[in-house]
Amino acid sequence: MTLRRLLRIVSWLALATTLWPALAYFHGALDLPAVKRWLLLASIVWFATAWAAEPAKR
Amino acid sequence: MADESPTDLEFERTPVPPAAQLGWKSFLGQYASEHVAGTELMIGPLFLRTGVGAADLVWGLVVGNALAVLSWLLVTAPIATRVRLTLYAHLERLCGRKLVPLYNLANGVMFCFLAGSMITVSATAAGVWTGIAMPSFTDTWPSGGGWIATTLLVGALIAVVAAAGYRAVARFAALAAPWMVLLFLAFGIIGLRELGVTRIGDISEAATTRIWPGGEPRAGATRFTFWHVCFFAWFCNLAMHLGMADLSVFRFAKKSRYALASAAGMFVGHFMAWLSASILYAVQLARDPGHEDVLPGPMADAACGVAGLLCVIVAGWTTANPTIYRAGLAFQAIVPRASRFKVTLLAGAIATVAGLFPALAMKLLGFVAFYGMVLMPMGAVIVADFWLLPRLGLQRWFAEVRGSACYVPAAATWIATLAACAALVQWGGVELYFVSLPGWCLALLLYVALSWVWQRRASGDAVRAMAGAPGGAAAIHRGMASSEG
Repeated sequence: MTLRRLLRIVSWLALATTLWPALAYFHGALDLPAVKRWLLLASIVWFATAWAAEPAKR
Repeated sequence: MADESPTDLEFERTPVPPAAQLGWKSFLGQYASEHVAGTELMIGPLFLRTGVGAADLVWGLVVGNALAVLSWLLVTAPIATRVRLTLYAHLERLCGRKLVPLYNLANGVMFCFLAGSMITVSATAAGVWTGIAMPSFTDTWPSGGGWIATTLLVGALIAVVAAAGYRAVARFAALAAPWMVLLFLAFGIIGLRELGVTRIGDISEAATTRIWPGGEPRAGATRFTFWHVCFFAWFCNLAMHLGMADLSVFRFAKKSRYALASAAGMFVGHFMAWLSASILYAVQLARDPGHEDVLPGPMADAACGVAGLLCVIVAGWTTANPTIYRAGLAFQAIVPRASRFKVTLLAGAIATVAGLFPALAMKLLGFVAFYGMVLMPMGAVIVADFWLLPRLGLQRWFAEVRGSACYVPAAATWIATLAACAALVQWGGVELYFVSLPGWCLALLLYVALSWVWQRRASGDAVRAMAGAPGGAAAIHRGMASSEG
């Protein structure tokens, strides 16, 4: 139960991380190659944790 | 493979009981995820090619999407929540079991072509990794062996998964939906920065001068005005709302007002996603004005790298998957004894072959309008049959009541409306994007008129037959009493 909650929190953080690099780039705080790396990392973490957090539905 | 069906035990032939009805949140999630599809990445850039201006585009989308939501809310959902049957079960009651297979065939073929364009979109992303020669905007035929191999591979994977593992992909699609929405938003934000926008206050100026400045359409495109955008946004899901395909969805809604949830799909997928995809294309044109090809894969790669490519593939895959599955269901309804697995594979094969030809995706605006036009008349028939016929003293669901296998007024309305629409487009100077509105109204009137003639004639025949039989007068009396009951 605790692990699932933790996974869920991480998944939501990863989801938020798919947007903030774009916003940081818009404001000139991040360059495009860094944005692409962050987006890939956030995407991997989102899918891994969101999938793992829903075992009952599988 | 029947146990993989999402519709088994889902009240395919019977009304949805109160215990199985759903709240508004179910529809919010479904519409928000279904309308962020791979095809949005084609439609956005294609708008830009039409030379539409920023204000026309934005206001056209606002009004058109609002009209689409109102169509679901005021036309589809009220019937869905009263009858609570699938479209197919409803049609069978209305026009008999012989006409439904024809509708299913048309629907299945259209689904295959739509899935084909989604496969094309996914192949443009896979092609970035394999370095194949991509098709250009004007290509009709496959651009080479690499394109054929990539598209066949992508299509085969999607088809096999649709046939064998529908449920797993449906769950994956639900998981991917919020991620895709945010990545589409990221496409737009990154694109704006690439076009030199650094403050939110600059967006309006950039939109009118650099992104959608308006003007002459590019080669092969029709010039779009506010009305084109508005009607396209309204009618791109015509088959679903005024065409009544979403009777199957809203039969589960506790209240008809839950159809307002469709606004999530319209204003996320058909507003934000289209604008974002359009901005990506504007970035491509700003970098190289001569590079006019609409290739979602390379555009997403330039903005978001590997995550962008994954988004294109996932968006194409997760929406092609249910589309192929639905095409399989439509075909299987024609040949009920056929294995659902094999029929879905066949639908996937047709979609893959369609996806080989880039012209289908590059002409997506026209195809979507055509798809809605073909299925729209049966939606008008359902509306007229449900609301108008009883008020005019005519019989609703005549085929079921009389045990008829083919209700001629419904078939004649469909064929005559399509013929009239084709004539209006071919010789009347009406553009394909607009023809479905007069077509729907024509179908409504035609069905009422033909039903009036047909049912009067049928009643006359019945009365004459009964009057000629022994004990005829008593039979007529009994028949009238039972119809009043």
